[in-house]
Amino acid sequence: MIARLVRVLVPPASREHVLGDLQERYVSPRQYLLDALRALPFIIASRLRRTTHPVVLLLAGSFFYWAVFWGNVQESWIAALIPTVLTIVVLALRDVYRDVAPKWLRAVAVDMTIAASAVLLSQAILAAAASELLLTRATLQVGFPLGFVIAFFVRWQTPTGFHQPPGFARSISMLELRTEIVGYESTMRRAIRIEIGACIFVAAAFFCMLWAPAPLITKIGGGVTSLAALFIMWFLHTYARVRPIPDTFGFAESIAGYRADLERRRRLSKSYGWWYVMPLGIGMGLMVIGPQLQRPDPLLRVALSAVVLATVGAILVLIHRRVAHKVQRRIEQLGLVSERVPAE
Amino acid sequence: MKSLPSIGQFEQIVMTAVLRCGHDAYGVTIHEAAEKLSAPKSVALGAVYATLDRLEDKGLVSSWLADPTPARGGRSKRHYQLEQDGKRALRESVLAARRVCDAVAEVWGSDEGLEKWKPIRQK
Repeated sequence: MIARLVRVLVPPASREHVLGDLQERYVSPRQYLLDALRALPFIIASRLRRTTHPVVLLLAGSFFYWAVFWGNVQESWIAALIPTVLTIVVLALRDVYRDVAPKWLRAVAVDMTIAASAVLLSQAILAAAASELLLTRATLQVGFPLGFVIAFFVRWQTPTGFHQPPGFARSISMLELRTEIVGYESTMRRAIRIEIGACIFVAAAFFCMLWAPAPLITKIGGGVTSLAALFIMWFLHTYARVRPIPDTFGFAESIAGYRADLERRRRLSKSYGWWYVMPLGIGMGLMVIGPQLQRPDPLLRVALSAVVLATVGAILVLIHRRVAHKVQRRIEQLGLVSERVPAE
Repeated sequence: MKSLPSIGQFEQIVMTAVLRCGHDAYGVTIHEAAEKLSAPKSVALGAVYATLDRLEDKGLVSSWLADPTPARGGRSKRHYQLEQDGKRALRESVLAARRVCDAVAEVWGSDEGLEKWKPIRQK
């Protein structure tokens, strides 16, 4: 019973060795339970550190607060803060307790369902306890479902909760190399397909805005965003498409091909600001800043909107710089690895 | 030469424990060795896990799962070893600690129980 409880509480990624160590130290059920309860906070905190990033959390928090729970239209800022924190905590804990090899689409669907259920449950409790902290009806009918659908696609595209410890420049077998290459190719292929799908959706949605009853500058912004999405789609298809490394290649050829592809990926991550953030940023900027220009005394509002947009863009660029740095490290390591021939 | 990540005191203890355990470095043995090194302070098993994870992320130690054993309820051990960068970082931090020890001993002398560091010569 105790062992079963501890098994459930230990994150799957650490379960095997932690449960083995606890078993080895076993003296009595009480000592076993105390040992486990003392170790658990450290294990969960360490897993949390490995599977989340403060900047990504901040971005996700901003998205949920402003875009999903419409923090600016609630009576109290706490009304949007409660579901935002709840969603972030649920998703972060789902990442901590991620199975080692889940079916990703199903895992994302479960993540978002649990998070949405937690938000609805919190709203039910607030309705009885503190109705002034409830989200507005419009938020629950539009922002909440729409935002969660967008969050679902973002999460589907970018698997979270996995941790890859840094590789080391030592010998690896052909099988290990092929496994790494196949995993890398399938991850990239899926990410690019979803991104292209999102580009088509964005291009179509913003193109439709041209007929919406909106100010001219907003329509121009929508048109530019639509063109930017089409440009990104073309760019991804032309430069980022996966070029599979044939499994007939030998060890040296596979390493060379893999390094060349990682080098291409590193360049794309480093130039992310130019081909992704900049084109989308121009259209978005026109849409956000344009309507502010028509208000009286627009300078402060325009400056604030520009700062927010520039900050989001800078954070996205920084995240991709980090990715480029990690890829560079693997490229350097791959330059030093040698083939390990399995013993007969 | 690339710069090494800095390591804290507890990380130094855990890395030394990994080094002392040699080929038998896994959670339980590393924890026991770390307890001896940090005596009279006790060390939490969870803190050892968290530190090993952090050291692995810094590229100072590496780990792998061994085959399961019946003594551990059919569970595997996660073995750890110091990587080249880990050895260099530990050496640098030990040298820094030695310099601190020498500097303090020069001022306080042997009255405070500190003497200038001398290597233990084995006969």
